[in-house]
Amino acid sequence: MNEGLLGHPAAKAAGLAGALLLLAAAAVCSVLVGNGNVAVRDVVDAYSGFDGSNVQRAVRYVRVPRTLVAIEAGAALGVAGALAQGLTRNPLAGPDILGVTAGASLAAVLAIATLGITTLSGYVWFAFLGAALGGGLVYLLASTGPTGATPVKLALAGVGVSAMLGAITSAFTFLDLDTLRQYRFWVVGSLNGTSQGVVAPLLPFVLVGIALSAGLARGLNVLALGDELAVALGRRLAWTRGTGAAAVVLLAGSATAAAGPIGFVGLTVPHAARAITGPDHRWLLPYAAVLSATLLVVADTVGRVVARPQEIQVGIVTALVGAPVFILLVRRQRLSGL
Amino acid sequence: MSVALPLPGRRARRRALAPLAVVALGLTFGACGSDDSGSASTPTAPGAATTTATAATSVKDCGIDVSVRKAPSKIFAVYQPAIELAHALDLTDQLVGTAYIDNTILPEYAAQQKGTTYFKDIPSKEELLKRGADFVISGFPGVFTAEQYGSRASLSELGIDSWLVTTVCPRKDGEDQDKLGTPSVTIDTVYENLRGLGTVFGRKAAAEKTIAAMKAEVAGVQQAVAGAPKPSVAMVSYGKDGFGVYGTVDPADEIIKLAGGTNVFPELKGHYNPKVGVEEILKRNPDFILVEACCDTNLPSSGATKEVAAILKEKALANVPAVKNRHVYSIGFADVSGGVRLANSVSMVARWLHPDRVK
Repeated sequence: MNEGLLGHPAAKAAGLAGALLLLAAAAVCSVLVGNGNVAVRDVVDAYSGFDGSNVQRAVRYVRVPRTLVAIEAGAALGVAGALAQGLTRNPLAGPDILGVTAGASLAAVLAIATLGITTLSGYVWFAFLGAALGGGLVYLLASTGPTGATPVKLALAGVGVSAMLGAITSAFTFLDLDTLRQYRFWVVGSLNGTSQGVVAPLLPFVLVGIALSAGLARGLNVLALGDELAVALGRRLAWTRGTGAAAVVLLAGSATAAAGPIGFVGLTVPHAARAITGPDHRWLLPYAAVLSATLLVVADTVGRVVARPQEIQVGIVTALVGAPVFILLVRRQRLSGL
Repeated sequence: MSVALPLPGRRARRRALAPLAVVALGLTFGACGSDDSGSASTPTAPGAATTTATAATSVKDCGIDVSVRKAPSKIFAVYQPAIELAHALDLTDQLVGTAYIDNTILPEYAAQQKGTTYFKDIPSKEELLKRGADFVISGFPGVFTAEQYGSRASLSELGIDSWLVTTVCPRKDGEDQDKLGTPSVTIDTVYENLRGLGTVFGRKAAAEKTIAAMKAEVAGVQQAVAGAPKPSVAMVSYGKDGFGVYGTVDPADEIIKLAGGTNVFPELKGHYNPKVGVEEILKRNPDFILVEACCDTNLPSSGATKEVAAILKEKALANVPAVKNRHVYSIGFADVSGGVRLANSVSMVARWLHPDRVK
């Protein structure tokens, strides 16, 4: 594996601080720029001297919550993607590729449609269940045959299962008249709706997911050396994989519950992170978190600004940016056997 | 990672039966020859003026010539505007099928609708052919796309004529509502559709009767609201993915205007139900927010109770007059489409906008 752009730990630490600054800048931009610009003063006043004015309401109830959801969902997707790639030793892995996002989305739709569960804290559990089932199904399909779950088989099974689950979600959304509009969210991820009360209920899950993955960083590094060597070095592969899968489910499930199915972020950003840090997961994971959050915040801001007064769903923006990167990645893969 | 967002109502359908149907329908069609009792092809009707201009043999609809029917038809009516237009024109007994109702049918047509075969979703093309339909009336262009029944020209090759409500003419035959031509969504467009269909089906009298009733209703409202200050109105859909705006390619703008209000989104033309954020509503600061209730056979116009409650609770909008004064109301999706409901919709909205003037 190649070393990344930044070699020395000090350089990596400085780089991470830089990435955090970039995220902070993107977040400030997201709060200030949009449909009618807001002054820094308004933002400060919205929290220190709230007077109920429209500008302050826009800041407090729209811009800031929306930016926080983007950061939360983005970080979760980035870490989930880096984890998925490390666990499967597959550069084409990501929660959206492995059927995790599509499973979460479908399960949420089913919970809402058939059980009438409409609160976030209610259907997030179904998103987790769906994420686990979707990812599990992909892994099961890819593992069949003598070669086991090779990167290409995983990607193929994942794309196939995601397409199938997505089709069921779409069918549900577009066949049932009641759900025509309410469920569009579950087909294309979006932050256009209300963002109030989204961040807090999901935060525990995202934090646990991030904590689990932090604990796995060394294990993932050993895993990268190959199963045999990892076992020889005393790694419990099943434990690493199991915990990692749980973290992916928590993170991708939370992100989907918060913002709908958002593609390509979890897939592409870890690659950018790896290019900077090299393969060491202790650096890769935090970089992926910060850079993904930044990407989602920027993508959402762009979607809000380019077609004013209309808003383009963030899922469409990330797809526009991410799809070419995905194709590039596939082309760079040596698809032996095909 | 789904990216493509299919438009409402689109569904892939097989067209395997098409060649068979050409034969079958050709026979059916050819077998009909007798004259209709309608006025269109009977210029010698008693009491007719001496200037017996040759009766129209066809009527233009979205750029397509629709022949005047010479015999009772087997009509398939898809979407609410089409179904209610058919009932208004006393074509109920010629309906071989109806599909896709967005809100509870108007009470005056409830009994008529009960007697028809109804499909909750748009049935396959095969079903359409099996029922022997020789005419399709649609309220939205999606029906006449390759994904559903095919373009109107292709249907006509099967002996099936068609009418598309002209508020939603696509740029060209076979295209969907993402490619609308220049939408003409005034109430006059509805009158034209009534007259056109009335001519095609020999129901001119019924058409004129309906038009007269609609005109009287609208005139009553106009008189009542004349000179009153015009409150601003946002007509929207609302869901987890935010607000969608009406009045862009649909009659919402016309309804608001006739009801004595102004549309807060006058410039968003040419896109179907474009998405805007909460902030845009905040910025437009409407006096009234009318939120869409959609879509079910038994969903009344007032059915968007959850959406109304959610908007009233939206903290970002607390200063907006509509929310502050609790002027957030539920309006049916069907009320905002180009059908015979339009006069009714005008009255309904006027009662909210001008409660002291319109009872």
